[in-house]
Amino acid sequence: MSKTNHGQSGSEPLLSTALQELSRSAPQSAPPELGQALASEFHRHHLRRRIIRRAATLAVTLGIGVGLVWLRLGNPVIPDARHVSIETSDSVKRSASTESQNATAQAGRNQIPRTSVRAPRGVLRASTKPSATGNTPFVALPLFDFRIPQEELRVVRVEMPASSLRLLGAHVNDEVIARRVTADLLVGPDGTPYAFRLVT
Amino acid sequence: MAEVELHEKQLLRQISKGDEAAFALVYARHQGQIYRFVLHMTGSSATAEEVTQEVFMLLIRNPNGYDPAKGSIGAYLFGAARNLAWRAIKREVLDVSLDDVPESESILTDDWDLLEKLSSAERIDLLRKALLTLPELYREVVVLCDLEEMSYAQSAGILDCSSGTIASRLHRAHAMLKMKLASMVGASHV
Repeated sequence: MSKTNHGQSGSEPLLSTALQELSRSAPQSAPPELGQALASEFHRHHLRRRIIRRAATLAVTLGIGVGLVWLRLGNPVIPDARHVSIETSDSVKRSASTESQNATAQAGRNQIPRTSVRAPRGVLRASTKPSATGNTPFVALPLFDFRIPQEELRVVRVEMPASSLRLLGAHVNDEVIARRVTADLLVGPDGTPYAFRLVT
Repeated sequence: MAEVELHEKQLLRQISKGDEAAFALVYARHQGQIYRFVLHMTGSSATAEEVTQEVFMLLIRNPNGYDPAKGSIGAYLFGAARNLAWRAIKREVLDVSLDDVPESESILTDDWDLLEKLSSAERIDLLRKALLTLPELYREVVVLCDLEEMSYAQSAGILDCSSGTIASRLHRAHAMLKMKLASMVGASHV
């Protein structure tokens, strides 16, 4: 390290010598115990950090895992107590067939044709648990939202023109558009219909 | 200079990752100067130890607190040590008002001769005491420039002022030290 000349006066050399003596007399380093204490503190600190980081990673992984399981299994289930089942478009024909058969039995000649009601494409299968009472499965409407809590859904029986069913998003053939039908609507807390099934 | 900066950046990165060898290297490189600086500033080895520990704990807890763009690790550690030392000094009320220091730089020749006749140990002891009576602003330039043999530029970097300020403070500090020493020698031989 370069040292700049500080200027000299008569007493300066003696002061300079005294300062050098003082500098030399001072301990050259901190006590070794201090270094050891700091080294172990460094070790402890980073050990703690590693543990915290691993715990956080584990918690995040678990959280994601639980979330995925919940999304796959838990959330889409529609309450069993309501004996509701909603089918996808792939199985629409089957469910529609069942509906129309029931309708046939109950409504005789005025039945809605077998393929007259179809669920919109892309609606997830929510629950296929068969109804304990033998009811036909519900068919999802475009507004169906599987995030709606189960306990907030309720079933409302209505009699209405088939054209109204079309307005709700169901596919209804033109030949039967003018007929009146009885249907169970699965509605949310605000009255939005999410699914339906034909009664007659 | 750029290589040193790069090396210091790497060291800091390794320290933040928990590399004990990197920390040991930085500690070995700077602990002596920092310990001596605080020791001379406070006159207390316990405070010097405490402050040195605190400075390096800062590096352990928050290595990212150091910004390589603002200077070397040494300057950063010195800056922290300086703040802590000042705090310790204020706690212990070692301060001497500038008003207590005589403006005149005339030294009684007899007293100064007496200083020359003292043994080395006695002179060191007197000087240490005289140093502790200097106001901190002056004491720290003596410690850095005279005792730690740093250049004006290095000291200016640590004390965050210009080299000219360092030079003028040092000049004034020497004058004050000589006055103090002369009066202490004179008093001890009355």
